[in-house]
Amino acid sequence: MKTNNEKVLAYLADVMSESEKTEFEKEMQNSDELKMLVEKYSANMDSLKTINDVSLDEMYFANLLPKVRTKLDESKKSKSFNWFVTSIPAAVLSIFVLFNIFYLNTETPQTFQQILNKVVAESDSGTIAQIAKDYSTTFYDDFSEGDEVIDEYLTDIDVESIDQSSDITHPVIDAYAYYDNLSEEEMDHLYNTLINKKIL
Amino acid sequence: MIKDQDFELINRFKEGDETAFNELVRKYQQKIYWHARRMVGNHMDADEVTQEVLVVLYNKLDSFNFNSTFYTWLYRIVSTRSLNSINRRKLKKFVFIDDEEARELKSNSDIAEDIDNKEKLEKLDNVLNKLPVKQREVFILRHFDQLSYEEISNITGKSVGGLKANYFHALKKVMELMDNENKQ
Repeated sequence: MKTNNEKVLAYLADVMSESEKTEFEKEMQNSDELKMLVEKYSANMDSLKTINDVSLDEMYFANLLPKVRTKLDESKKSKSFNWFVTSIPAAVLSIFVLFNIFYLNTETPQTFQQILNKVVAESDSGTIAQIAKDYSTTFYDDFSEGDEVIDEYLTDIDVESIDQSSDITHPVIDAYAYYDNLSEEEMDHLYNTLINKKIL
Repeated sequence: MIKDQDFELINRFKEGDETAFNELVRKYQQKIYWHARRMVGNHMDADEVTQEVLVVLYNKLDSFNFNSTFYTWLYRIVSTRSLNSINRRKLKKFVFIDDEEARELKSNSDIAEDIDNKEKLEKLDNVLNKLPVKQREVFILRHFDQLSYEEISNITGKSVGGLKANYFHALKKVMELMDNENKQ
């Protein structure tokens, strides 16, 4: 059950429902104790408001806007500087990316027809056969003998001696990544074209 | 869209009129300062919060879309910044353990006009600082700014029921504190 103190506080805090409020006001009319408590707490609340009525130094508020304006100006300058500092690496990065896209990759075949044309134009039966032979007689044969042999094979490779400008840059190999995107039909067409031209 | 008295000022600012911002600052600076001051309990932190709020106001005013009153939106910023300031102070106290010297420095740099007003401020700070932060926030908005529970709910994002409970407990505590002070 609520004490009178709590009832008065609930009334002053406006947390009562309309019916509770009406009931409390009726009760208060017949209770001097409730009336006194309401008066006492109301006076306390008013005195707190009076305490709050403080005169402040007007100069503080007069100087506030200029201070904020200075801060905003500093912030703008700092932003401009940051923009300048970050824009340089961003520009270099953009140039690098664009260079890669439009210059380095201009020769890379993108469509099936381009792949086909490039393979046909730049390949001959000799190089294709040689790639196949090298691939099958070294790594592939060793692979069939088990993991230990592969490890040995990989350990023995003299990385410095690999001529990276030869077979590995052959258009057939270069275009390998694009074969993943070709349909079965396109692969058949490519295979038949190479056969017909006696490349394979 | 809510078209209150500030609608024109904000639109003028959005169109590039910098003087509109100055007018908004002059109109609201005391309200911002007082809310921050009652929340954080000292001038130095309140000054810092007030300046922060005005900088935020300048930078974010473009994005204000009149879905709420400007007053509500502004109070939300002041409340958030004040709570951040209180948390920062708690952290400083924790790290430096004895904060007496810093508190003394803060009270000495107050902006009350004379000794009487300084005493009033100290009394107010003493009462409010004894309330838990959530209760303090509701008490200030309700008692001093005389906002409705619905308006406070829009500012704090809390339910009206929860706010009523917080205000009731805050009021109870404040009355106890004032009773004790009157007895002394």
